[in-house]
Amino acid sequence: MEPQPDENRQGSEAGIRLVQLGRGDRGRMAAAELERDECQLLHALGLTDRCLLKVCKQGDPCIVQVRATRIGISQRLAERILVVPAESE
Amino acid sequence: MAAEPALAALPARAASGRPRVALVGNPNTGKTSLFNRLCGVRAKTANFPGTTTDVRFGRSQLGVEADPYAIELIDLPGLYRLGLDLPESRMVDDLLAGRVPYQRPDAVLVVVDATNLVRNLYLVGEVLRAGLPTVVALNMIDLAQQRGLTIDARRLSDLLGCPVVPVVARRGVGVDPLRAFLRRVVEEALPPHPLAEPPMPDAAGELPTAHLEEWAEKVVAACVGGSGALGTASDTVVERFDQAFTHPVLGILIFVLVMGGLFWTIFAFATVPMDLIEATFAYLGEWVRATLPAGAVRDLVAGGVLGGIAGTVVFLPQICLLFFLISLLEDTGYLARAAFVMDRILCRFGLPGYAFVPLLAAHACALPGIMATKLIPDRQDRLTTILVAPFMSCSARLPVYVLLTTLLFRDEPFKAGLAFAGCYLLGALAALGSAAIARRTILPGRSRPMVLELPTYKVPSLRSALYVAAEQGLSFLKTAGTVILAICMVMWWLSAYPKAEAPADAIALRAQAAATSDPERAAELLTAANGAELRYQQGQSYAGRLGRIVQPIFAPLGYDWQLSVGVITSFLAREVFVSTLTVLLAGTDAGDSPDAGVIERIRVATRADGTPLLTPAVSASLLVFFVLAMQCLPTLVTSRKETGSWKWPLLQLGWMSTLAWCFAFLTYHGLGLLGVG
Repeated sequence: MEPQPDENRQGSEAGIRLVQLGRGDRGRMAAAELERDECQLLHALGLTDRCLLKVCKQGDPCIVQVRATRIGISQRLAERILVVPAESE
Repeated sequence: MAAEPALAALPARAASGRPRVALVGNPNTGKTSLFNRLCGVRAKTANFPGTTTDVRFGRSQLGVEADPYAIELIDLPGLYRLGLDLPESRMVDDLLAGRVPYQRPDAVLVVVDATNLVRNLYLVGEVLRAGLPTVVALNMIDLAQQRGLTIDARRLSDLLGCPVVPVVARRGVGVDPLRAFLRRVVEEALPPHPLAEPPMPDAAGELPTAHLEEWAEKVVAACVGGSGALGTASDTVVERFDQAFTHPVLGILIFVLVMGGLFWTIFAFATVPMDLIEATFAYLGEWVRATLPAGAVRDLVAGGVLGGIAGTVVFLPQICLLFFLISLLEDTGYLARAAFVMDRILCRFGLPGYAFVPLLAAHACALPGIMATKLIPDRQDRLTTILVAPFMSCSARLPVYVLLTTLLFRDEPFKAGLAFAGCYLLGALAALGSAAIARRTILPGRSRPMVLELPTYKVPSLRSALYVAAEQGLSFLKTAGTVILAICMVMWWLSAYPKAEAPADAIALRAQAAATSDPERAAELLTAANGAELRYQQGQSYAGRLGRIVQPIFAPLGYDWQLSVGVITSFLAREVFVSTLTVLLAGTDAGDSPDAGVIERIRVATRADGTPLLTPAVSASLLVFFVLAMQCLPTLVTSRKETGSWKWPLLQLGWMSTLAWCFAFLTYHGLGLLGVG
């Protein structure tokens, strides 16, 4: 099965890969080059389109915080998540 | 789809007449703690229809003594949303919608994490859409307050159109008001009337998470004070722990220490109750032999029933202790981090990071290892782990390893130690290799990349851990007391019948014993006579005959009929191999020195043609065979229970036996080619 775009990818800005953000950096979810079920799970965990996230740890796993939730993401997945850096927020 | 009667056959108001309330919530919201608070120990576990997902049922008393009112509470698996394409989501969605084969519950109790309200409200919004009478338990309200959040529960209740009750499930705070609200909602069948209408699915029936998020944010903005914005919950201590626990090197070291401590605790503390169980059953066996008249019934009760129960129940302390400790670890929040550490290694072989607990547990015993696969959310990942878990060297293999490595390297403890460690390594490599093959053939695909909510670090709940240990122990006893016991009795009968007359050599030894005036010599001769009788009996029994029939299969591995009987009877349990050999060889050449130890007697044993029974090549071949073979009936029964089908245990049996035979063959003939006879 081909990787599926984020259900809300249309119209999102081009971003960088989540793994390219540094520890403590913030960003907004832009798109995810993932299977549909993987996308759905990310959304259900709170990693929705344009949500603000903070990188707590890079590597494997990549740990991000969305609101009060800390989410561990295997590097295999984090490499396929695109974010827009949100330095000023 | 075959329906499990436990849920499917339950009408809304079952034979008991009690209304049914579904308990739902995100993972890590304290749902199980609340279930335990509401139901106590009066819970039972059953598989969900068509799945192997465990669901707990419990009776909760919502009234008082003067005005009792009981409901049946169903603790459903944790899920993030109803609309996800995941088994647990589909299951709960079908149940709430009352789709065949489920009956709709009378009401829903949703547990939400007060510290993470927006994300938890996604599920609440979907549940409200189901239109069932609903109560929301706002759990961990104390933590939310500590973080500076003020939640107006009354306002939230108005917005959601159903009662919202702040609780702290771990301490029982707010549970009484929750009971009262739940009773009212169930009795009056009050459907929710939310002021803030949750979003509707689109024409295709899809409800994007973004719509739910937008709705949830509006609700939270209207009833939550303080700041729930990103970063307020960040905690440098938590970040440091996370850095350490998931670090590529330090994380593995910590993991080894934690798991080493866990298994040391199991081995150290389970020994005493295990010894007690063995001693109790030994006493009971003696008592039965002394009380009942000699005959088939006495043999059946003492050898078949008590022996069968003892052989299985002896593992109960290990199982209870393992689940108790795993529950404590899970409660602390560490297991989620450890899963990521192991994921890096295991994913190369198609296994998920979650598999590390079952695989480690299988080193104590495959049974709790297989039962612990419940931790693994993905069915393909779970099946792969169940298939390969029995390769791990369990404690039942230890007597066989000790015997054969000692035979191979007499007076060479270093080499024996290396061979011993090699057995563990061979088992682990076979497990990983088999998993990789399974993921390329029968269970195609890679293990699901891990995305996991990292729960808050907490002091574990002793109460919950005790409940878990008790439940798993009872579940194990239920299996042990039914299927395993029945099969043990059949295997015992096969090895005990038909009864054979005493052989000539035994009669001669008894005659010599009667004739001698030396009491010590007489005792020795009688022991030798008993051994000869037992050996003859084994050979003439159905199991013995089977051994002779199957001997051609094992001949290429260097085994004679006696070793073949040992292999066949040890199918009941691996450790039986040593005792079978001891019995079979009791009256052989070593019978001249009955005081010799078990290992010495086996070492000097010979075949019918006078050649040594256990040459180095045969010993090594046997060792490899026992590392790889599925010689454990209770494991097969447990695999059947956990997979819901005989297909997987039979595949396990076929694959492991074939692999064991091939590698034992290569070992035997490879050593032969190298001149090791």
